Amino acid sequence: MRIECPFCGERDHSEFAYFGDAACARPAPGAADAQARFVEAVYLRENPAGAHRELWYHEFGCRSWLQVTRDTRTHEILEVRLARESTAP
Amino acid sequence: MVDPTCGPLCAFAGLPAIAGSGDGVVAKERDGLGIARITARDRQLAALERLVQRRFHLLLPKGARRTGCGEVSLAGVGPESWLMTCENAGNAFAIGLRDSLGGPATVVDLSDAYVMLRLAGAKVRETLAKLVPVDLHERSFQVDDVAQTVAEHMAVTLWRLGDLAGGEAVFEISVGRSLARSLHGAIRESAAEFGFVFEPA
Ligand SMILES: [Zn+2]
Repeated sequence: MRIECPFCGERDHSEFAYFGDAACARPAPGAADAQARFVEAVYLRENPAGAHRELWYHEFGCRSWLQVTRDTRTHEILEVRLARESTAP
Repeated sequence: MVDPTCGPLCAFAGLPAIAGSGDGVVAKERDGLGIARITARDRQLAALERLVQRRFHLLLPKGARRTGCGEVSLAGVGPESWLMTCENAGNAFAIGLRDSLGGPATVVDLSDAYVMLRLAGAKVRETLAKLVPVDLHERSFQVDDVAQTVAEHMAVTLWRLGDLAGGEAVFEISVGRSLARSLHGAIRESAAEFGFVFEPA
C-alpha cells in the first residue's frame, strides 16, 4: 500500500503511522447526555466495508498529519489531504 | 572510552575510511554547518517570505525543494517549514536567525542534532538505491529535490546538489547525530562493492 503525501509524494505505507478514525468527533463534555455520547464515540464506531476517513501521520517523512480516505476492502487510497486543511469531522 | 564531556567529539571518529577498492562512492563529512529549522507561525508565511528575501536574497522553496545563495541554503521539509544551513557558522547561525526571522517564524537550532555527509562518485545512485525507498533516477529526483525518508530504518533528509562538471550526481544526506555511525556503516557496506572512500572533517 502506498500513500500519496501532499507534501512528499507517493511513499510506502511503512513511512506512516496509523492513528485512527478521522470521522469521529469529540462530544461536548458539558452536554447533558455527555456520558452516552462519549460511550458512543469511544466504543460504537462505524467500521465500514468500503471508504473510510482516517488519520495517518507521515512520521518518516514530512511529519504532517494526513486525512486519508481508504477503501477498507482493497486498501485503495481514494483521497489524501493535510489534516490542517481539512474541515472534518 | 573517551570522556564525552571533555570536548566536541567527531560523530564519525574512528570509523573505517575505506571499504573495498576504488572510489565508486566518496563520502565527505560536512563539518561546521549551522543548521536550523524554521517554521512559519500561524498566518505569518507572507511576512517570513519577505524577511527571508530581504535578509538572504532567497525565495522560500515550494514543496520538497531546496535553494541556495552563497553560504546559505534552504530546503523544504514540511508545510511552511524549512531546514536552513550555513557554512562554517555552527550554533551562531540559529542565534542570528532568531533575531532576524524570529518574529514570523519559530527557529530551532539543529546544528548539533544532525550530521551530514556529501556523497559523490560514479556509483552513488546504485548505493543509495539499496538504502532508501525513493526513486533517485535523474528524471525522478532532480537537482535541488529534497526527500525525507528512511535509510535502513533511520530517518534521513536527502537532497541532490548540482551535478559536477563531468555530469556526476552529488547528494547530501543527514541523520540524527546518535545514528551517525549506523548511517556510515550502512553506506560503507552498500558501497563496498564499488569501492568506498570516507573523508572525515
Ligand atoms: Zn509527507
